[in-house]
Amino acid sequence: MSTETNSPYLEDTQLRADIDRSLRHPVMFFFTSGAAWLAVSLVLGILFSAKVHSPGFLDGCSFLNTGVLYQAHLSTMIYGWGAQAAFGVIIWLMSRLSRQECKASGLILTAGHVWNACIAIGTIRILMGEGSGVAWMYFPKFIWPVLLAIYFFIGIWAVIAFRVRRGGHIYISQWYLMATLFWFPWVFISGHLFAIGYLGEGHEMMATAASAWYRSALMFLFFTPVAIASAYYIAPKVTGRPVYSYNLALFGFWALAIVGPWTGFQRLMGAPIPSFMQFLSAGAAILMLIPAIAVAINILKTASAKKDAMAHSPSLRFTVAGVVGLLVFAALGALMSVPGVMKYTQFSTAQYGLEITGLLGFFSMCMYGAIYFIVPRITNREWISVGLIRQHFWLTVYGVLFIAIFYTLGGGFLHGEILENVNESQDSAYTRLFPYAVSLTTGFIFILIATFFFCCHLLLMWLRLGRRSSHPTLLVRHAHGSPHGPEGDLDKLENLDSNLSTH
Amino acid sequence: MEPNLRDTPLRRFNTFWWGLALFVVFGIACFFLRTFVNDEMTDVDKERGQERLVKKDKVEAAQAAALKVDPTSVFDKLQNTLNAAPAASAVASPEAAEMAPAAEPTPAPAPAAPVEEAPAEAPTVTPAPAPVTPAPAAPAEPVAPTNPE
Repeated sequence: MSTETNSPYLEDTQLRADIDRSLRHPVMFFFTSGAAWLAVSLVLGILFSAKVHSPGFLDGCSFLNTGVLYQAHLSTMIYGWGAQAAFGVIIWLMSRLSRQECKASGLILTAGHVWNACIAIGTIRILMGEGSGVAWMYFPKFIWPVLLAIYFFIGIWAVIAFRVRRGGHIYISQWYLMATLFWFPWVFISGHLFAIGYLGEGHEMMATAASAWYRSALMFLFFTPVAIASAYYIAPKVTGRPVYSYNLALFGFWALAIVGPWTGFQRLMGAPIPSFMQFLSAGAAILMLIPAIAVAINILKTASAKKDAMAHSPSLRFTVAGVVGLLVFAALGALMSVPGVMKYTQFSTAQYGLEITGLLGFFSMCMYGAIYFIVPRITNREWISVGLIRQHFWLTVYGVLFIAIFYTLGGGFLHGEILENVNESQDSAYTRLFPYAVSLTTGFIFILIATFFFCCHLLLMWLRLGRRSSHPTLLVRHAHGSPHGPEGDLDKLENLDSNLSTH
Repeated sequence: MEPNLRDTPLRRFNTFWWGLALFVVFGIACFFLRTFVNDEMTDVDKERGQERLVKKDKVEAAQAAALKVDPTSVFDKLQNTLNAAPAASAVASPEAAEMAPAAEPTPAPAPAAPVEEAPAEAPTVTPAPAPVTPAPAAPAEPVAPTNPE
């Protein structure tokens, strides 16, 4: 393309367009396949929760019993949706912030396909009853080394992009992304080696402790930094304002890095592992409020500088909701780590509810915000339907609130109280817990419908059937016209698109 | 736009192989750690299992010592005795008198008792073979109560 003027702005615009085009296929693949796995996970979750309050439901199918459904549901949510959404965000965000085109798109796309194949095989094996039974590591043993190797071939390109980045400044998002690129393999290898590798060799207590640590470490050292990195990019970008406080961002990052790895063992309070590990982890889980509050203040203050952006921009709305979800997740986690409260929550449904609140209420919301921002840029199309985005947002919020309030808090504490009361009969316990168990199914149904809308919308964008416009899709209601005024010159857009495609 | 001086093939090459090396080094460290931890392992099940095996051998040896004759030959002999001289069973003889209560079906608690009493009885039985001649008769007593097992 011949540029009449070589202004830095035009060159930077060209560079960003080149980066987006180079990452179109791998990033769209990760987002679309991740969304599909999320839908599968929610269906499995609905089947699981239905069987909890209606045990006779589908009881003729041996591969649909409660145990394997639970394992398959969590595995697909974590490794099918969570990991792939994170990979897509990591590689796009790092490339954009480092101003580096991706030169290994084909390799990353191939790795993504192999990752999906592994998830599919692992899920089928779980449903056949061949899961490992270790929490959050349910896939059979032979799957995890393959996943680790695939991660290397996805993550290394982001590290290379960072190393050869243009310019000297390192953005806040890049701190979190670089940290998570190194934390994930450490957590993954340690967790699987000490939990799966030692299982059945006389070290069951070590396997249990390693599994408890792995669940917290994966949440706080992989999902949390990726979501926060996305929030620190989206908020200033959409509002056009700098981050509220650079020092607070620095403080929040180091607080997460120092406190995050210590959590996890509080789940084994009272177990035959050293007492200091249990109470240290409980303390660390409570201290996780500090980085959560630091990040929340920074993001919410940045976003509130332009309140109409929060109302109109889908990306910012989902991101802000995700940051609020982070606060709720951290607060619930801190509450459930207090030994007096743990009496009611350690063996109750509150633990699972907390995990779902974190994965869907915090991480997924931030990922939706990133996806709604990134996809129009890499496909050169705008989202088609404001209604679908709005439905996606509100149904997800309703579903997460149902699960957090009714299932986690209400049902979790009631379940704990029933477990403490040895004189309570089975029938009475079932009757009292029934509505809370139904609340989980209801919450999942809301989120599944939202995910269905999201998947359809994403698929249309992947097929490049999105809206051709020079204006972004905003959550506004206008009787006529666009809040930006008339549509931009689509001929100019056509020429830009065809000129870019010649490179 | 200014050229990016950091973006060189050598830097990319270095970063790739350093990243791979970090993976491999960590994997090797975990492998050595696992090998180190495995050496000190004691399996409580296996330790308890050894004790149980020793006890089992002792019990079997005691039972083998108590059962000097082939049980099937005893049954044949008993059958022949009953067929040949049925009236003889009414004759008061030490053998018949001792055999008679043993012929009655033992009550239900009796089968449980021999499980614990067998080792206790064994010391009473094992000395019995020392006076050799009457020994074959005496072991017949404990054999009959244990038959209902």
